[in-house]
Amino acid sequence: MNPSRRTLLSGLLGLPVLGATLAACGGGSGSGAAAGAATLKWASSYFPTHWDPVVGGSGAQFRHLSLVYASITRVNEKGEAQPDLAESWDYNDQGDQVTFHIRSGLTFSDGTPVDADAVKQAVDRARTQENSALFGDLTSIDKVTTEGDLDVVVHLTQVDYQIPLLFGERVLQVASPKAAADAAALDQQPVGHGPFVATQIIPGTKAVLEKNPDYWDAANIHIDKVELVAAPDASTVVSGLQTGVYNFADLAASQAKAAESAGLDVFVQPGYNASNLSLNVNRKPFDDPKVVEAVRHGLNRQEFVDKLTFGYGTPATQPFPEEYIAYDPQSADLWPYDVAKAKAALAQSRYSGDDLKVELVIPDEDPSAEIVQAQLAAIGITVTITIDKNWATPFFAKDLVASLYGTTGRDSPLQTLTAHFGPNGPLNLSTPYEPDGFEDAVAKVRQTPLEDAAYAENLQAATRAGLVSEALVFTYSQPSVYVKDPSISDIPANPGHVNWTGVKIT
Amino acid sequence: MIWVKRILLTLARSVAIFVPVFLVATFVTFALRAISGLSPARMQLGEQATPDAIARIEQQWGLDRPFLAQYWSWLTGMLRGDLGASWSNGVGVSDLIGMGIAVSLSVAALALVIGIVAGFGFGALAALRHATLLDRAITAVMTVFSVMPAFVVGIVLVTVFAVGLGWFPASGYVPLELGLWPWLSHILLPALALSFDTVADVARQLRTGLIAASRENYVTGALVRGLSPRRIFWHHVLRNSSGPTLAVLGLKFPALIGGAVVTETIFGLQGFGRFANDSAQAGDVPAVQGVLVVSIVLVVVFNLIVNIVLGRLNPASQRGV
Repeated sequence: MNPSRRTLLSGLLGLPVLGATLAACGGGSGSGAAAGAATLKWASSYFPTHWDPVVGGSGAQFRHLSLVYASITRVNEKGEAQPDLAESWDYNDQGDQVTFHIRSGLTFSDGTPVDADAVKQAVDRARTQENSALFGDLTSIDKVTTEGDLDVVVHLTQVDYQIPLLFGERVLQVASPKAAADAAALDQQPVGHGPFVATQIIPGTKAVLEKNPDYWDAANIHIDKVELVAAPDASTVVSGLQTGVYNFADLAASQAKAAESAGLDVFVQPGYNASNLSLNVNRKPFDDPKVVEAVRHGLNRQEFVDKLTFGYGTPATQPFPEEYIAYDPQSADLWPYDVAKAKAALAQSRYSGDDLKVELVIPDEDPSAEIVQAQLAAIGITVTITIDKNWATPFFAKDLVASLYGTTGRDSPLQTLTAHFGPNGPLNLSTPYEPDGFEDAVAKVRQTPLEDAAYAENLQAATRAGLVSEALVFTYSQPSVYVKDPSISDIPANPGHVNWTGVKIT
Repeated sequence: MIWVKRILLTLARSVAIFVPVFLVATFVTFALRAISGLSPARMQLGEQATPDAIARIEQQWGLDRPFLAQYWSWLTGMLRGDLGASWSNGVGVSDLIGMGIAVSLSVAALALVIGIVAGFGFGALAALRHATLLDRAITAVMTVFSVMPAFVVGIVLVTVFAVGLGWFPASGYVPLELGLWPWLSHILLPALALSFDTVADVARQLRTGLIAASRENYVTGALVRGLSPRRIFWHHVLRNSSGPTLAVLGLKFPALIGGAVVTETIFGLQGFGRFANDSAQAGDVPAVQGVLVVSIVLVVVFNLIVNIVLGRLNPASQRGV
């Protein structure tokens, strides 16, 4: 009797201690989160300047706007198109018309229904609003009509099976048509059907968002509140995370080691980041293919990686990472670094001496410009670096001889290819030049359904055709580095995206 | 009522200087946009910045109008408190600056208070104990303070008090209406970082002034007449020697607001200084122009206040030498 009784008493006495321990642990793991509420405190270097997705365009801020807006489709971890506002879609037999079927019963946070007409208006606005930064992405579309309340019919100017990829977060986030009637107001106070509702926005500084219980996938959103702030100095982000002021941030690669040693989770989000040296083959000296060949062999990609990426980057010869469907293994290293070959090519060109002086114009101080300068000097090309705050005007008007550009790609790999290599590509500094055969390869991909067995092969052939272009020399890939407090679970590895489906904060 | 007349005269003289300076400065700044060729289209269109699209956006912003017409519109708008819209996000520049200035004023005011209290304290202590070891120690420390950049102090403060001890938040800002301590705890570290320079200047200026004043004949006379040392200090010595120190403060407050770019960046405060820096970096011309206008007004207003206070404190300063 006594032993049994003593055991029972010991057990009872132990409970308060255990409870106290749990309480203490609970307090510790809260890490600044409000009691009972899962709050994401995101410090971002890309705080949105525009909350209208049409004006914001496909720049980095689409990741933040996707907190508020749902899009017609979205991508999974393989970069494949998945249902979002549209639960499915069908092409006609010819492939020049696609019908999206919108989920029923959805509303925007202002009560307006999410229906076929709302989606049609979103597409039309993206194509025609005067200050749209998306119009160039939607040139395959002839017009959009509706059938019934929930079917959106997209009529195309050509066969194009890429539309479901185009209608993802980067291009077709859908705003409430009622709110969008005043586009200027929407630009400051977004209204969508996304996972969160914006309750406060201080321009350029801070946004507070609450979970949207009416979001179609609300069951998979476990964050109650988001506080998005414009990130301070890169070196201060880490101390902000250590002290609980933030619990998530995009991170400069130079700060990654500091964050890791502070016990934070540092991770790379997959994507299509690629930097390049852009050349204008319509200008001397790059109108001579031998000079271009010299540049191709004269660039040592490894030096960019070693000096600029702090261990997180890779050399790049294509605008896609190796594991991606559009990556062409046959083009892995078309022009290996070879100073002797570079000099030989230059000797065969019709330019020499002062003819080989090139002005490299860039918008901001960039150490990669100095690497280019040094490497090309080693083969006999003299580079002058010019910083022009107004760089975008001559760059996109194709007036520069040479420049640097870095892109995070697109959801549609074909769109990435046409943006870089196409005759109207914004990133093609040599417009209207395009490599022979590229247009045909692109058309073939457009005409291949995404699930077709030949899709990957055709896509890689288009990449191969594009890389012949003398207008771009890819250098390195600096992936997007993020840091988070360990209390936040892993985020979906959707390439190029930051999504919160399934993410929990303990 | 003679002092009212003096204040009005001070105001009139200041306005006479202020208006032409203001007009010339704003005109030059406005002209910089035309010279720079910067455009809102660059910021907004991103990769869609075709020449046609750029022309469309610029027309939307009225940038296709003659320069003087643009300047006149901007000037008349500004006189009504309308500083135009930011090229970055389309929000009214007055609103943006208003938000930023509230943050910066909180930090700068606290930094100024710290600067005055600590500066007067150290300065007075050094003067009272001048030529002693304490005096030399204070002078040495003030010299160190004056050469320490605010961002170095800021980083040290964050490392020690936020990350190490966990006493204060490392970043961010909370408005006063959300609570006194949340507001104060967020601005205390940045205010301390900013105050070092002010503490040093005030302390050294006051020490010099106090020592000089205490050697004047009227102090000797007062002592001979039996006035207490405390009365002499507070009513005569401090009053006379604080003039130059106040003049130093006249330069400090605008500098604390406008020069706080680095501190605001370190502490993640979206204040006036950081707004100015971000706007300039982005080439957001309307915002930069707005910043200039507000900066001029701040400097002039604060100097007016200092001039008036100096006039009340030391009537001789109004007569000139």
